[in-house]
Amino acid sequence: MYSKKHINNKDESQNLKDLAPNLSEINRKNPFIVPDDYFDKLPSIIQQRCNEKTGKTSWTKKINFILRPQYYVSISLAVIVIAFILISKHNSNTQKILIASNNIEYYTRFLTDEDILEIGDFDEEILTETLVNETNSNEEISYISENTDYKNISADDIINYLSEEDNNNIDDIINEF
Amino acid sequence: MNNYSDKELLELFHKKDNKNYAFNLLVRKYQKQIYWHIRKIVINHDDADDIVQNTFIKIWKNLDKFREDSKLYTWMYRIATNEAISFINKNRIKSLLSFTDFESYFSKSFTDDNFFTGNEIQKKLQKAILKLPQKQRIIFNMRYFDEIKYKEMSEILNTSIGALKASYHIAVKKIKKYLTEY
Repeated sequence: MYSKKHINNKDESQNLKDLAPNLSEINRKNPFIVPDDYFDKLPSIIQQRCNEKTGKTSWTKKINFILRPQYYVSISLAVIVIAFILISKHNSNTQKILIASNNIEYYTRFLTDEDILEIGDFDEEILTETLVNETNSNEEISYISENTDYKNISADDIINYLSEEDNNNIDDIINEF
Repeated sequence: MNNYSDKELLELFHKKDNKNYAFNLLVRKYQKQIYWHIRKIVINHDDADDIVQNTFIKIWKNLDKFREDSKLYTWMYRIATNEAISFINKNRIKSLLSFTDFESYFSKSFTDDNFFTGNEIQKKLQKAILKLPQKQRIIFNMRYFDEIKYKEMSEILNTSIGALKASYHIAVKKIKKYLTEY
């Protein structure tokens, strides 16, 4: 009696004959061949490759992998997109600065120096303190004194300046000196 | 002659000292089946040679992790199929970028390849098989030439038996039509 496998195979080959007679008549012999001794040498070639020190991929291999042709297009596109974004950002910042500076000029062109100082709420105390703390070298002091035009500062200027300070009594100052 | 069963080869492989020896036996046992399976997919001997080596290297690297929830042979066949498909897909992308026709690459292999000795009708059959979609071509080769059971094929290709049978049936009809027309 035929086994189930035999019957199934027979069914299928019969099916093939019915379905595609020309196909069923073609010799199923393998039409491909290999070089002589190919299968004799293959195991040792494979073993050798398996036993090679895999370790870390060398940098040349990494570069060669990246430089494969199929990556040229995608890398080029990526570079173009990144360049476009950076240029857009830079232009945007430059424009903002220009706009800002233009606006400042537009709004401040009618203001006097005093107006600007008031707007800025400039605190001379902080400036003086800062200058005093930072001006601790003789070179800096001598520079300031050399570049300050004391001749054009009148006594009235000094008195006016001092009297503008809060709680300054000019008579007290004069008596002291 | 290699008389070790898959189970014995695996046991031998897991022993550190016998790893290389076990693997060598494994390669000798399955090299022809794996090679011919790949060769029928990629046609060209040099390409098949590269892929079969890569397949066995992958097997070497992953054999420790093989969980034996499928047959060793099925697992190896699956790796070989995936490697062959990856090769084809990579070359398809390459040809797309270089604006060349990849499909004609296979056909050329019959005329240029010194390792094809079939007659005209066999050449015609191979060209007809090349016309099939990739997976259908693999299914046809495995069933028609290798006579692999549908159950095993299902495990290798991760496809249901019904789908495999249907695919094979359609492949036969298409090949029949091609052989009739050309």
